[in-house]
Amino acid sequence: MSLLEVSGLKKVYSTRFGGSKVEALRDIHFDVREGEYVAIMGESGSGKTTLLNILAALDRPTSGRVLLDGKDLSKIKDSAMASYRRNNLGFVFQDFNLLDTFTLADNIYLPLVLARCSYKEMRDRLAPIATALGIEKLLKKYPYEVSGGEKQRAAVARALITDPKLILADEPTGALDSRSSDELLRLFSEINRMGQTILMVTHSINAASTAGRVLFIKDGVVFHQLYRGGASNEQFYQKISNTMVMLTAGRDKG
Amino acid sequence: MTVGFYSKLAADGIRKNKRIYFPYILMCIILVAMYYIITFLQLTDTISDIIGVKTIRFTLNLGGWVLAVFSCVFLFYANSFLLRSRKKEFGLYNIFGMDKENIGKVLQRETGIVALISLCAGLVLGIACSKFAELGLVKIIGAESNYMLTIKPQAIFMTIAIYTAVFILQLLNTQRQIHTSSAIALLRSENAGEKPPRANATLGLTGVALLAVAYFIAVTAYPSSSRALLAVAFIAVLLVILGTYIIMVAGSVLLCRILQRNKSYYYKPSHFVSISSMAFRMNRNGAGLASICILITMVLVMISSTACLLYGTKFDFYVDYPREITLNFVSSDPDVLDEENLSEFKKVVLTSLVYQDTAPKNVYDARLAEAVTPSMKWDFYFIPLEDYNSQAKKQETLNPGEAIIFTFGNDFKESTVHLKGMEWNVVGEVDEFIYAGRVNMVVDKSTIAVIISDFDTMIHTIAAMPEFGDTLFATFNWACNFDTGLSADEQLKFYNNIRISLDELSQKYGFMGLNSDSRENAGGGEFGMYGGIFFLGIVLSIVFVSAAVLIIYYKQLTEGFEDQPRFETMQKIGMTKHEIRKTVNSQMLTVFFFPLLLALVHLVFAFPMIQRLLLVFKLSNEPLFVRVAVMVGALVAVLYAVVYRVTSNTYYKLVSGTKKKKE
Repeated sequence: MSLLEVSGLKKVYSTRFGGSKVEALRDIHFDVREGEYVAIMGESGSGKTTLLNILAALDRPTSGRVLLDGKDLSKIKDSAMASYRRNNLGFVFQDFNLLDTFTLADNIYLPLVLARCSYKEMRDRLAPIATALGIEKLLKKYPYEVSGGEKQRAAVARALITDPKLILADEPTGALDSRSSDELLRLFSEINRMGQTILMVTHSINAASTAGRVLFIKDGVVFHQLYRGGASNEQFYQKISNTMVMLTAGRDKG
Repeated sequence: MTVGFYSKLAADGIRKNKRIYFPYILMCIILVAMYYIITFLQLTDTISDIIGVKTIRFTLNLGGWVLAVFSCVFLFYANSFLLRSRKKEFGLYNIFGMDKENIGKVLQRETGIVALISLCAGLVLGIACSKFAELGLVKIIGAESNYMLTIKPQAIFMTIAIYTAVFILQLLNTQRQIHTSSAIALLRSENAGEKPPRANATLGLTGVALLAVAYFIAVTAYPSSSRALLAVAFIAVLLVILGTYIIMVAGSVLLCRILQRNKSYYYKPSHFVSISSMAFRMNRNGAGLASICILITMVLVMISSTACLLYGTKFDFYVDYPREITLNFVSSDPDVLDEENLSEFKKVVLTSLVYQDTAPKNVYDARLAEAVTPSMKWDFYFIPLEDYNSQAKKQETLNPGEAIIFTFGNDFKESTVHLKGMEWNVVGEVDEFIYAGRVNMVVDKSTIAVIISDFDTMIHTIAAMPEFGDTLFATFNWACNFDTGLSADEQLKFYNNIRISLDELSQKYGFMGLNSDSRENAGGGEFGMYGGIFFLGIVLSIVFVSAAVLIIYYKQLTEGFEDQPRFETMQKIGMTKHEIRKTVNSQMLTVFFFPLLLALVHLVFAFPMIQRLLLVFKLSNEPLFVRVAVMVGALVAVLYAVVYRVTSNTYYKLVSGTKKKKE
């Protein structure tokens, strides 16, 4: 059964006075099975961020449906939305979004504190994750004291600690140097292998090539998708690259 | 680029940042208005006739300078807020090709606009309120006024001169800051200083120790001389200010760290975010909180002690000096008060009191026998019934052996008045009585005025007693009190003229001499000064309270902008609006009411010290002081709560994104 089902998704932005309308998403269909690692690719303005915001229940679609684990996101009341997000989704952002007033440990604890977990339980949950991500020595430090890659690993830990059904990653390598990027992508593959479902929005071919499947969005529709099959990262990189060239060429012709 | 371009840019800058500029301009307007009022009151003619006008003017003048200096310091502080939030904009201008000189021109126009608005509106407000202020001042010092609105061009000129200077100083400071920083530094200045503070236990404890020492001094120090007392008070005040700053900056961080170590307390949704962000920002904003605390303390101390000074003084003063000039001709021979001798003497005195064609007004004259025995609890002033009736315009009748009494302060509970075997039944008591002369206020003795019909018999009996001059001291006097209707200076001149001549004159009529006093001479100046100080206390309190409110508002606003991305992240991670509300409340309650609480604690410990200072002015009116302090404290607390509600809403709207920004 699919963990995430997206069907007929449409989002129209209108300017304040209702003059011109912008169709950010036209008609999006796709689904994500449990344990899958999916990358969504597209150029700037293709509607990636809009899609992610709707999946994260930060924004509401004009029409269409999003089912997460069989539950329709549009049926959840506003008041329950925050706790729903907290319990079911994990977020990794491009610019980490760590709070500079907290140590890394406290940053990771934040969603659990909001869920009113006891300190003991939080500590017990953090220990294995911190070890897996290699940040156990950094927990007492503040965000400004660690590197970008380390910050992003802490952000991943924060996303993982609630044991979410789905991790949504928005350009997670966007602010990282190539070494840190590779390191983070390796981590993503690893946690995916342990059974974590991941949906990542990116425009980096390198990042997408670590996923199991890549969806291409263009002009508000899912234009194309690629499965890794048995391909290695390098081979998959090549395939994605070719598709991107094709997409760009398509635009030039049109 | 034309002149109009810079002005337009400047006007735009102010309009776009109205959330920051509006309160700033409002504060400028209040300062200008207050300064005009103080200057106006120094010049107004309404008070030129009242007692102690010189000292009032002196006090107000001093207050004017205090206000000017405060304006300068405070506007610099407020301006740094403005500048911080504008630097990014200037950085962009710079990168887009405006050089520092162009930016300087924009800044000039901006300051010009702010100065123009503040001066115009401030002067209008000041002129509009000056009449109320004048009426208030006049009421405080108990003079009379008319309802004509007057304008003093000299005051307007002074105000414009002072505040133009303040604005120019500010402009220079801003220019200097823009000049010394690079475009990139300007762009990034908003994000500067994001390091969380380390708790410094030593510093925190030093702050606590300083406060403890200050409190200890305030409560226990009893220096003998008033000068030493003032010195000690000054030291205590300095220690308190220093201690408050250190505690706010370092102590609060330390407290937060200690709370953070308590895991089960810290890791609760309502504490988690608020404590960590408090710890984070106390270091930077502790100074702001300390300033708020000091300002509130100043307001509390200022109003309650000056009110005491004024109202305590006023009470004693008018009992002591019901008329401008008090003459008391003293004699040890009762025959001096014989009708023939006295009426002739009276005539001579009253004619000699005509000065520059003005006859004495509101003359109160009466015979009076003062009787004191060391062994008795009461001192007596005996007054003949006929004199009382004619002066108080009453038609009382008394039989021999009956008396009407009037007490100064303490109640007389017995039903008869005894003096060396003489006895009078108390048949009545009057509440209001113009006594002629100063009453001795000794702790364990009280004075009672006894109105009797058998005055002549009584004084001769006393004079014939063997104890007379031994264990019974008595004088037989004629008291004459009157108003002159002269200005303060003239009054003094006149008083000094008559004092000596009347003393000599009285001896010709058998008196031992003249005890005299003049209200102006005795304490008019002092009284005027108290009135002036009290008035200044109110004006400065208004200014300080406005300043505190502005600091609070700016604090909330800057913190709101700063916290916006944090709360945005937290909302994405799953913080509900409700939780944001709770966090904001818990944070605000602690941060907000901490200065107020500390200010109240300061006041409680300052209380004994202030008491002793007031005693220097021969004034101890503990209940009055407590009452005023409680009233002012409650008023400030209410005001504080209102400001808290308003600003916390602003903050909440900012951080919860209720005011959606365009994306």
